[in-house]
Amino acid sequence: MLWRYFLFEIKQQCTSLKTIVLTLSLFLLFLGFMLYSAYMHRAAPDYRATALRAAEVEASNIIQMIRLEQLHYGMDFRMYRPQAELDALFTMVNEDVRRIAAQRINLTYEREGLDPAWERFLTASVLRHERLLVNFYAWREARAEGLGVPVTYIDFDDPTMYYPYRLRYTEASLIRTILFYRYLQNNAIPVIYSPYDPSAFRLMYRINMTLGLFVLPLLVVFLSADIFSKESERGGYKVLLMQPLSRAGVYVAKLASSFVICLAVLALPLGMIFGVAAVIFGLGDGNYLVPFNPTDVQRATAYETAAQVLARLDLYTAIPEGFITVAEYLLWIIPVVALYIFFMVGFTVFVSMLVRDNVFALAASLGIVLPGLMLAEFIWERALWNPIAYADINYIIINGYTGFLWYLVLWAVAFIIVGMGWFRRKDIIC
Amino acid sequence: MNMLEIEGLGKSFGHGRGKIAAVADVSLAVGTGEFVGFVGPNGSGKTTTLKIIANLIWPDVGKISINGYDLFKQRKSALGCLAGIVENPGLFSGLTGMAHLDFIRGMRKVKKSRMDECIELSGLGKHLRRKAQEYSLGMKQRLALAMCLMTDPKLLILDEPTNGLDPTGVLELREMLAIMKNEGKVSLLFSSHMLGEVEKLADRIVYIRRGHIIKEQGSMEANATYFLLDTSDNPKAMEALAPYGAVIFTDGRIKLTLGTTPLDAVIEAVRTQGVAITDIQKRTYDLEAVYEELYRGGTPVVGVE
Repeated sequence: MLWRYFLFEIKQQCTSLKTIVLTLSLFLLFLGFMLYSAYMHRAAPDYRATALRAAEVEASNIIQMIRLEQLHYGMDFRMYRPQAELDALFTMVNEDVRRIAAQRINLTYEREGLDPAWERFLTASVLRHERLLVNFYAWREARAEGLGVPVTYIDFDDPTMYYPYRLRYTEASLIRTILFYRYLQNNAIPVIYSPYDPSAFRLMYRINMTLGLFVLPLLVVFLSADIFSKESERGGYKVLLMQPLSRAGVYVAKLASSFVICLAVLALPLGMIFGVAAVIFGLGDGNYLVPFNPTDVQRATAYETAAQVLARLDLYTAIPEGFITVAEYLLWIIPVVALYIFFMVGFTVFVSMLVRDNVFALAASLGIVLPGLMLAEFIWERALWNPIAYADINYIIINGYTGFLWYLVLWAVAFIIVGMGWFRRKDIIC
Repeated sequence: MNMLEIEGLGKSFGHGRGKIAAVADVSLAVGTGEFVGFVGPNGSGKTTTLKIIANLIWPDVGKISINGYDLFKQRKSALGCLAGIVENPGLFSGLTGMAHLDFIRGMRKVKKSRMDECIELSGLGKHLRRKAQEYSLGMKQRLALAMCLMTDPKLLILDEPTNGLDPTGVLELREMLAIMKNEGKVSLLFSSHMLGEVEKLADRIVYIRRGHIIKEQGSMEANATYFLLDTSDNPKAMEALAPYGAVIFTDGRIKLTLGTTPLDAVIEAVRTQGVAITDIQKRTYDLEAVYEELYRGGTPVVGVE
């Protein structure tokens, strides 16, 4: 009986205008994304040059920031130093930092035998992290002693405790970057790829990276927020609750049908666009390597090189870094997305059960879900997407993004159980 | 065995000082094949009671059994015997009429032939292909009735069943219910503000006010006759009439409902007391009069005022 009701719910939701419009809208969104990618792919075929230009822009931004931060940092000295002297000092400090950093990088290149074409990237990266590492007193001391040591080895007494961390962080970044380049060279992996490659696999990857975070919650909320309130408002409940079904069964059937419909509404346009991209631009390289690291994969956006991604690594992360093929990544992301949708549906259906008004149900779901997601993103922005983390329960509970997903699943189950109980006792119509 | 048994049913809405008891200690039984009319003014608790029976809201206290199954402990079995329309026909607005019938057919395992019979009975014909949200109230009512009837329920609950129906529809519904009544397979509990309708269909009428059942009577009893008398000394006449039947003083006249005593003996008894009868009228004790008496004239007082 419950199974029949579940099928009825599926049928009812499938034929609703909202579901059809959302499916079509998603398809158009993905299609637009594909066309935009294709246009950009044609417009900028020299990806290496594009990426270098981006790095130059970034470097000039960094220099600008250095100046601003130096002004801020210089506030301490202004009380007893004339401005002209401070300016001169800062210029000297700045030049020293750059010189030492450049020397260090050149030495590293020579020692490690790396491709000098990457100098700009590395310089930008190092400067970004070392620009504040020079404490005025430490610098003066080092200079007076004629040491001329690399700034990263200056051992100074920093009042904020922040700079020592950054010092070690920068050092670690450099080491990791070197290891990374060595890995790429040894395995003949092209470092800079076209960020706009519209072939099927790459497109799927980018859609997930770019749109997933916002499309998923909105999709689930719009599809499920009125699953109870709609019937409460329009009267379908009266037919439903007089049928020989348990109320808990009704709740579960609605939840399960919502879950299936959300998956279908996401999968259908994705599948269609995969097909369209495959026909027009080809499947692409399914073995293309994508970062699958203890880092924030979602931020590996268009102009970032793997080096820049790696530069953000948390030094103290114990999970080994690595790459997987884009095909493997897509296979891996399917259950992750399903789990995510499961939580969202559990939560949204729960909210829908509590309220009787369509608009209020939608507002409540959006109002709670979206800020909640932003907060979660903020908290877990350095967390893991790595299935290796499953091996360590502490990572699952404390650190992992995947762990966070499991948290969400636990919450979803809680919503389902509590919702079933409440729905059984709830006056549906007053 | 009674088809429906309600015991000590209570339901309140609101909290604290704003708490209102919509239904208070309602006990009621509907026998197998019995048609029971549920009568009362707006806000008396009729619809709330029907909603509780139909599993739409949850009572605070009380027990309900349908065909011997406890509604709260053996919900599926109990609801398997029930069909009804409460307040207004509840439909899935995005679905066609036919999809509604298919839903009920799937849920209750109804035969195709029975579904076709009910489609015929509903008179909706080609309109069944349209979405329910486009239906008029009367069409919705017809569809909801077809959905109820195709399940061959043992207990049917109808709240204002003729609401929204045109005169033809009302007549058809009444005929249909009369046929069902003759077949004796279904028990009906229905509420209506149309007292004539209740009078025609019900075997028994239950009156409810402020959540309490205040009177139950058979419909035959409702059609009993009574006399209105005016005398030269009404209090004395009422004293004399008391042993012969129910006597009340209403609208400046004595209202006398006789038992088996002939009218002559009663008139003689009054005259023996030296009281002259100035006017006497024979009236039929119709439902409207009972209703008026119960809800507008206060509780009937038997005996001398």
